[in-house]
Amino acid sequence: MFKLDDNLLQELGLGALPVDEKNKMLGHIYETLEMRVGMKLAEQMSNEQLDEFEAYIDRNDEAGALKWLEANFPNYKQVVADELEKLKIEVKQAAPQILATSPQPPRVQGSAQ
Amino acid sequence: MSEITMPAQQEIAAEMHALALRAQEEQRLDAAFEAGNQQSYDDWNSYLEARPFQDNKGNVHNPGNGQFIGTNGDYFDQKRGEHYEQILGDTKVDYEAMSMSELAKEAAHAEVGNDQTKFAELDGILSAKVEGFADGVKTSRNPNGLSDESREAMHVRIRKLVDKEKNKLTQDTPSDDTNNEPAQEEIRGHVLNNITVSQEVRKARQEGKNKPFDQDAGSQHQLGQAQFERAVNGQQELSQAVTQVIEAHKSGDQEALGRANAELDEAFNRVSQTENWDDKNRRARQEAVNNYIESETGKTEEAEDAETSKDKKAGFLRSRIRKIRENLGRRNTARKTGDVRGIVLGVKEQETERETRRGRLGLIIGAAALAGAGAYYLAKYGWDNPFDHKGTFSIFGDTDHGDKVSNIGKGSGNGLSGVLEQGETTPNLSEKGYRYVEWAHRMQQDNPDITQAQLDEMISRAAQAGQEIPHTL
Repeated sequence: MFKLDDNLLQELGLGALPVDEKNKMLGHIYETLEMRVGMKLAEQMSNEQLDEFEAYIDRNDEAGALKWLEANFPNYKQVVADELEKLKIEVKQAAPQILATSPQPPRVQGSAQ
Repeated sequence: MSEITMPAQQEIAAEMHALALRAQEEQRLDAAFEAGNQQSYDDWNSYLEARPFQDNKGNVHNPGNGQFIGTNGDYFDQKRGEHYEQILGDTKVDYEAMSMSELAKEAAHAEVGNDQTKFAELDGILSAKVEGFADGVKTSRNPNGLSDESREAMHVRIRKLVDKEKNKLTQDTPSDDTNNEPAQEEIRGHVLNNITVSQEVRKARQEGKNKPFDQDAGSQHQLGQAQFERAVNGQQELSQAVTQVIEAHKSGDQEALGRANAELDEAFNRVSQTENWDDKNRRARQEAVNNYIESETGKTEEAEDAETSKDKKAGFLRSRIRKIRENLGRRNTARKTGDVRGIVLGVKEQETERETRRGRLGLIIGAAALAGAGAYYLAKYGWDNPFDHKGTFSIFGDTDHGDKVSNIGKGSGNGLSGVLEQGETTPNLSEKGYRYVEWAHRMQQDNPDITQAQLDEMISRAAQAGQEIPHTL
């Protein structure tokens, strides 16, 4: 199990982001990871395996799809972990830029004048 | 030499036969008075006497008063049916999930109730649990789990626990769950002793005792004794912490459980430092203690999560797939209609990958992989599920739309993922155009119910606020 939480953002140097931005950052990391892991696994699948997987999804049998993934790609969690590590390195390198371009917390009306 | 006549031969044979019979009889008599056998006979007799009996006509009678017991069909068939229903049927009691002390209690009930079949089954499960537990206590010094001697001692202690429960039942005392605490404590102490005190220390201590005049063994013993005492202190410390965790578990007080777990962690830190456990060793011992706690309290939170998470994962995956399909569908429709804004909303990165079936399925495979790896824990550990996250885009129906929209636009739209994705996405966008793509994408994602009219309004307000529309798309 991996956790995408505040600790992760702290680790990546993004602890200073406003809460709202943190949520978005986590969402973004999640989506990017999802896409990269998916592409990585899909590349390793034969057409028959894609058919099998798709059949579960078309039947709305998500539990079956998860089971299938576990049985046919027992290392898929490792792929997730590896891709997450790569992504973390990228995010860490970009952290100063991200912080610099993140919006400042809203100021109370009137106090800015 | 005189020949033996036939009658004499017969006489000898008869005498030998008589001797053999007498020997057999004596043996039977001896056996009958042997204490163990006598007990078995008594047990068997009382068992038979306590059982209902069936007469020649098939009627079943109460053994106490001989009166007829009315049954639907054959009494014994019915009883057998009940038994198989209990062990195999839908209403089967999940003995495997019970803790050792619960099983001991059940076994005692079965034994007192003379249910030999159930007792044998429970006894087997208890033994398997003990062995399973003993196998799991692996350390670098104990790679195969507990020693045979330790296993035997655990079996004996479990047996004592069953006897204790049995005594409570037969003495007709009111049931009191705390009555078996000392026995449980004993088992706990034994388990922790095995986890804490290494075999080498035990051996050194024992050798010193066995060879008091052997100088080497003596000094080994002294060393072993000092280590032993230190380890026993650690064991006591761990034992107290484990007791607190188990009690907190049973009370259901989550706050107390949190405190007890923290104290157990600290106890582990202290003991692992004084005992110089390396990380691997410490983890193995900690796992053994966790297994023990689990065996006493049922499932640990994590084990429970693993079990109950299957449905959650499937549910999470379902919602995620719906979202992915929405995005893909939106983009496909947009392609057909040539709606640039629709394309913008659907585009994120790796455009060409999505064109292919492998790419499209890859997105769902990725969703499945992350769901399977436990991504839904996001919600559990305090962060909103990003796909349920509604963000701050509450512009519809507000009076200060313009400000908010312009803030979003000027807020680098919003630089976070923009910085990350620069160079990955559509390369011929201007910086501002790219930011708008990113912003619009988020806007749509955070507000899935967005309508075309609302989108038009957003674009218009963004344009008024100085945000550039990405014409290059």
